[in-house]
Amino acid sequence: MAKPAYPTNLDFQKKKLALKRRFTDTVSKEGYMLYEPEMFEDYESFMKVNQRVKPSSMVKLTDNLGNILVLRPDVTTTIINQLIPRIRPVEVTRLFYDTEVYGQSPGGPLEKRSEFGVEYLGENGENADSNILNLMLELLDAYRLDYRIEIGNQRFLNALFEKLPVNEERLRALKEIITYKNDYRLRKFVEEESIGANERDLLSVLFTLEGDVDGIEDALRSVRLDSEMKAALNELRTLRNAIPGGTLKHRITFDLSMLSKYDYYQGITFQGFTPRAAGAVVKGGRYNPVNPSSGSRIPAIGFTLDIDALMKEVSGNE
Amino acid sequence: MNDGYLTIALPKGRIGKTAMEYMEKLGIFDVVKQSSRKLIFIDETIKIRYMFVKAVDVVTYVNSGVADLGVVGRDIILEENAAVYELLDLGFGRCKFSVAGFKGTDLHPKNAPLRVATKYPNVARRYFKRRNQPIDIIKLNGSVELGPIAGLSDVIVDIVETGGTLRANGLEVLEDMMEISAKLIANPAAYRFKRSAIRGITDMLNERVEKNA
Repeated sequence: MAKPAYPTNLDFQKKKLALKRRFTDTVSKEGYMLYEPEMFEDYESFMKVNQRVKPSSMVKLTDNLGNILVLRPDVTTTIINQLIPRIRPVEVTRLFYDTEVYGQSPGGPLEKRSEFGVEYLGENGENADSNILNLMLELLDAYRLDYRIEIGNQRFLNALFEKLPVNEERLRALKEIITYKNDYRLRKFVEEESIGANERDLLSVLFTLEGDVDGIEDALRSVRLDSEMKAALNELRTLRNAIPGGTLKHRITFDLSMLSKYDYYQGITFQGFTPRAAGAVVKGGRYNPVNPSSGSRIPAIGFTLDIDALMKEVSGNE
Repeated sequence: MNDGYLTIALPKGRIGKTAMEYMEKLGIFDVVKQSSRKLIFIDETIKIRYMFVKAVDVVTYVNSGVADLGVVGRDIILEENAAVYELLDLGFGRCKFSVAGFKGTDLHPKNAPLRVATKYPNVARRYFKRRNQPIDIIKLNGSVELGPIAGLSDVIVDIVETGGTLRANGLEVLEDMMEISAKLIANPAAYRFKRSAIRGITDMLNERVEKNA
C-alpha cells in the first residue's frame, strides 16, 4: 500500500519529533531525567543573574499583582533561580529538557525557539567536563553534521576581570568588546584605563589566544599568570587530552577569549557552529551556581542545542 | 555561505570604493574585471566572491551568514545592533556622529521633549537616554538637514564629515557624539569555518592600515 502523502509542514514536524526523540533516547540511556522548567521567570531576579542581557530582547508580561515577569529566555537561568534552591547539593543529578525559550529581536516580532539541553549537577572536575563534551559530540554526530566546536574557560577571563581597576559599567563595556572580538576598541580600552602592566600584556594578546592549546600557551609565554589562570589553562589541556583523535581534531578548537552574554559561567565553556546557521547552535559550560540556603556552590555543567537551527542543517543535508 | 568561497559584502558608495582600492593593492580584487553594474563579482582563482550592497544592508548580509566578511561604517553597526565580530578599524571613512541644528538651540528644553530628526533612531535614542533627555524621534531617510529648517524637528542626529552641508543650510554642530570610521566585520560562524582565510585577509588589511596611519 502506498504511503499517505503528508503536507510538507507535517513532514517537517515528523522529522523534528524524530530528532528530539533520538536525542531523548541518547541522553536517557546516559541516565538523564526529564526536567520541565517554569515558563515564567521573575524579571528582577533574571536581570540580577544576567546583567548584560538586553531587556528589550525579552518578552515581558505582568501578573494580576503587578509583578513583572519574563517568558523564559534561557533555561539555565531558570535552573539557577528555581531548581538549585530546592535540591540537595551532595547528589549527582542529571537532567535534560526539551522545551521552548522566548525572545524578541530589535524591532522584530516575538520569537519562540526550541531548545534541547542537558545539565549535569553535583560533580566538578575533568570527568564531568569531558562527559558533557562527549555527550554533545555524540548528539551532533548522530546526524553526521559538519560542525566546529570551540572550547574556552571562563575561569581565565574571570581571574583577569578581578584584577582590573575599573567600575562595573566599564567592565560591562569591556565584556561587550571581548564578546564581539573588537580588537581596535580593546586597544583603545587598554589605552584609556590605568591597567597594570601584566594585565595590559594579557589584554593585548587576548584575541590571539585561539587555536590549539599549545599555541595558546606559546602566546602566553611572555605573560605572568596567577594560580587561577594557570588552573584554567590546565583544565583546558586536560580536556583536550580527553578528546579522541582523528577527524575530531580539526573540528575542535580552543579560544580563551570566548565570552558568553550570560555572566553565570565559572569554568569550561562551549560554543558550536554549523555551516548553515548564522550563530552558535550549541552553547554551554560550567556555571556552578550558589545554593542560597547553604551559601556554597553546586557543581553544574550543561549545554543547550538550538533545535530549529539543527533542523535546517539536517534537512539541508538530505 | 559554505561553498569553498569567501564572501565579502562591500557597500556601494565612497567607503566601498576605498575598500576596493585597498583590496586591489592587496591583490585580492581586480577593478578592471569588475563591471560597475554587476552586483556579484567572483574571483575564481583566489575563491573570493564580492557582493555589492547598499551600505545599511552590509550588516544584514553578514549577520545572516550570507556574507562571511563585510566592510561598513561604524554608524551602521551601531544602528543595526547586530551580533557580528568587529575585527578591524580600517581607518578610512572617518567622520563623527553629531547633534546639529540652528546656532543656540537648547538641547534640554524645559517644557517638551527634544524633537530629533535622524536616519539613526537607535543611536539617537541611546545617546539621549544616557543623558536623561526625553526626545521624540522623527525617522527620516535622507536630507535630514531639512528637519530644523522646515520646523519638523529641533535638531538632527547625523554623521558629519566636513560640515559643508550643514553650513550651506545655516545649521551647525551643537554637540559631537562619537567618532566613526569604516570597520571590517565578520560572521561568527564563518569565523570558525574559514578562520585561516579570514585571519589572513584581516592581517593583510591591518598591515595596509598601519602603513597608511
